[in-house]
Amino acid sequence: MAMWKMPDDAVGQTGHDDGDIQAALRANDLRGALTLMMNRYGDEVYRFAYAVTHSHHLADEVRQQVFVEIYRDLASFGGRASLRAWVLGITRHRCLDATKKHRRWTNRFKNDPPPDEEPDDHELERALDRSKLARILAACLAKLAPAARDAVVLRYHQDLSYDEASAVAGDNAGTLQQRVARALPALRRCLDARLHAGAGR
Amino acid sequence: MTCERYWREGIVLVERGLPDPHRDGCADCTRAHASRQELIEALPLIGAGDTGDPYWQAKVWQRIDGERARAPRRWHWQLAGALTVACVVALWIGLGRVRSGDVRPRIEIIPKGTPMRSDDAHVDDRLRVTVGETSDVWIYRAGRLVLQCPARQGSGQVSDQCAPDAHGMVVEMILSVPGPYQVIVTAAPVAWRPGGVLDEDRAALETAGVHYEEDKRQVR
Repeated sequence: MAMWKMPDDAVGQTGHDDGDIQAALRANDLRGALTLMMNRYGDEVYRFAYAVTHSHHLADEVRQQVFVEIYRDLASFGGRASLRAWVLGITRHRCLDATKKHRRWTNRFKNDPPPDEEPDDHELERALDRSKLARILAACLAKLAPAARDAVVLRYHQDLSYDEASAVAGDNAGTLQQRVARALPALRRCLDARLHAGAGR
Repeated sequence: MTCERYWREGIVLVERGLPDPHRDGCADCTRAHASRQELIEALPLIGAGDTGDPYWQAKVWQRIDGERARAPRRWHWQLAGALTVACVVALWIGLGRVRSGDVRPRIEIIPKGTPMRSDDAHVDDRLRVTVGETSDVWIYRAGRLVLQCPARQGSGQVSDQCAPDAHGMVVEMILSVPGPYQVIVTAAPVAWRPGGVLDEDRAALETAGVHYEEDKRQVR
């Protein structure tokens, strides 16, 4: 029998009302509950995984693993956290596993020379279409250290508050703030460097 | 121009939700802050609109059902548990039978008085030999035959000292005289009567190819 208790804030930050999932679990309908969860969180998990892994293949793989794991643990979840935080927490762990297996980003990061100087702030203002910007940003994110990348993704890609991100990442909010504060300048330098390179060609 | 201070200190204040009075009076830092805003507004664009493999849900179910098919079912565990219990019970019963002396042939000394089994024999103790249905029992003292019990199977012979039981025969004699005793237990019924001399009877068994066990006890 599913031991299911939703927290008071069952409506997550994304505005999802997980009452239907709760009802399915109370009826011990695990398959129904998982179907609802896949429909609700599947795309978000994919985007999160893609932002972290910078790989469509890995993001797909991670998403499948996440929901298989969710199905396995659904009955014992018990509502310790919001569903969304729980799902993102699992996703984060699977992403870490996936990136450990694919350490290419690490090598790239290590091989990157440090930027010589801060580029002009105005360079960000150069017009680029959004999809290109997103691709470049994803590549730059992939170069960050895992902890910094997770913090940035949870805070500004998944739009979690620092307290929520803290619940997902297991680090305190102050630590995450520091990581983000250090990561954003690095991201910006990376972005500007690539924009420069693109403009120079 | 860039605002080093903003990227070093101002951004920390922003992430902590604290005011940054310096920024208001610094045009470079204001631009840097706007640049940060652009950056964080662009971050959600990563993967936006991407939904990945359209068949991913089907693959999740495939994995789940595959794992369930591979996982041992509950009744397998129950069966394994029942078999384990049965084996333990059988082993316990078997050991109990061994301990209770149902192993044959078995040769014991029953001391006079307190009925304790022992390998040490004394005058007036009893020698008990428990055998299966197909064994002859020959008991010698100092190499001379003192008691002969033919196998219960087919012999039909019953005496006070050679008593049949449910699984064969129990031979008992009082060790009234000190000295060395020898017990021969054959594996199969023997067609002839022993001559009475241990060495010769043993030789006859070996010549006939009859397997036997021999036990020696010293009675003091």
